[in-house]
Formats: sequence, C-alpha cells, structure tokens
Amino acid sequence: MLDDESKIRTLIERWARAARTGDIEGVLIDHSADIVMFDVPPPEDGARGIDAYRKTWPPFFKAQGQNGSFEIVSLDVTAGADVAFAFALLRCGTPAELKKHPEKRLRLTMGLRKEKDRWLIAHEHHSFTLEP
Amino acid sequence: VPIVTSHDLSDETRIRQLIENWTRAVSSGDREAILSHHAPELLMFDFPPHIVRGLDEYDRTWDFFYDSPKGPISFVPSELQVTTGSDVAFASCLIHCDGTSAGPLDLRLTVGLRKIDGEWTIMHEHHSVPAIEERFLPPNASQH
Repeated sequence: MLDDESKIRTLIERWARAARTGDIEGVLIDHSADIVMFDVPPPEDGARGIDAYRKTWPPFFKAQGQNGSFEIVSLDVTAGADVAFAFALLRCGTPAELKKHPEKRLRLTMGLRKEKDRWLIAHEHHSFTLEP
Repeated sequence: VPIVTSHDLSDETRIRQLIENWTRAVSSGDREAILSHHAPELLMFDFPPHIVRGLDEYDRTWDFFYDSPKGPISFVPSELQVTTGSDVAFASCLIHCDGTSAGPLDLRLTVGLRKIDGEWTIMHEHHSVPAIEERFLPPNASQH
C-alpha cells in the first residue's frame, strides 16, 4: 500500500497530466468543493469554490493549444496524518514561449486534506515571478 | 456536523496568532520576530526573486521593505484561512502592503507549516501578485 506522500505525488502528477491534455474532469476530480485558488491571472483575491475553479481552466487550455507543456520539474510533498502541502516548479507554456524563455517556471503550491481516507486538494497557488 | 475538538481549535488559533504576529513584525520592522517561527530549511517563492532557500536568504528578502520606506510600513492580512492537521497545516490569505519603496501592493500568500517539537514552524511561503498576461485573459477581457 502506498504511503500518504506517494498517494499525493500520484494525485498531483495525474492532475498535471489532465491539465496538459485539456481534460477538465480529470483536473477537477480530486478537489474539495471549497477550494481557494490563487491563479496566475487576476482576480487578485482568487477563485473561491469548485465552480469558480472550473472556470479558470478553459482560457488556459485555449492559450496552451495542442502542444503546450505542463510538466512537473520538481515536486516536494510534506504529508501529515490528515493535512498536507506540496510545492512544485513546472515547465508551462507553448513551444514558442518555452523557446523564448527556456528557464521560466510556474511556481505551484497546493494544500490538501484527507477526507474519508481520500486526499483532496483544498488550495492551489500558481504564479510566475515578475519579469525584472 | 464536523467534530471540532479542543485540540484542533487550539492548533488553528495558534497558527492564526503566529501568522498575525508575523505580519505585525513585518509592519513594525522587527527583523528577529519576522524569522522567529521559520525552519532553517525554509523554501520561499517570492516575487522576485524566484526561489529563496534558507533563513539567511529569507532574511535578506525583507531588506527592501526597510531600506528606503516612503512612510510607515503596513502589512495587513485578510481572508485568512487555516487548515490544520495534527502535525501539518497550511494557510492562505491576502495581504495589503504599503509604505515600501514599491508603493501600495496587494499580494496573495500561502504558508505551509509543520509541528516540530510541539511548535508550529513555517517550512514554505509563496508570495505572488497576479500576472497580467494577455494569453491568460478570457476572450471578452481583451476588448476593454
């Protein structure tokens, strides 16, 4: 049986794969109804609730096109018995964007809680560093 | 109805107080207190720099706050949400910051904590502002 850290890694890798392939149901499947997401674009105060979270994705899928990357480069998971957090760096963008800025990374932090023996994502924070 | 034990309540309260005390330390420029509940191996996503590792580097990220302030520094949290387990927790909030050379700034903050020897300790911070990148805007937004 997988330990909690491995379960969370698998869950986040599955989520990233769904985000890359434009699979909205796959993106949503392991999220809590009360998720709070701080996304790359505004609003500054975040997308609150699963419906608001769902709506953040179609513009992203459109911008990424068929060949966009959403690839986890590093992932660090801190899992407790019932709450966990994780942070990661991702290669994210279209082939043209990544050619222009090969070192640019999306920063991602997630907060998770265990409900009925199942890990759910309750918080996401996505950002890019401001260009100097 | 979820069962809230006094243990959960006190941990959540302790983390709220820790974050509120930390924001007050930033406002008052108390550099020691800013660092007082952070792990030596802390990793922070700042804006910029991209990644900050360890307490010394973390300490230096606060230099610009106090080098040439325009007025009294304020660093005020709102919408603070804390999710606490028995040994790991995370929190999110919005911060309104003013008085630095950067002028007024609204940022989003996520904090990851671990209980070490009975003390809640910050292992991770993620600070950001939204990016206005045209490719992420919904189609109707670009018409304005």
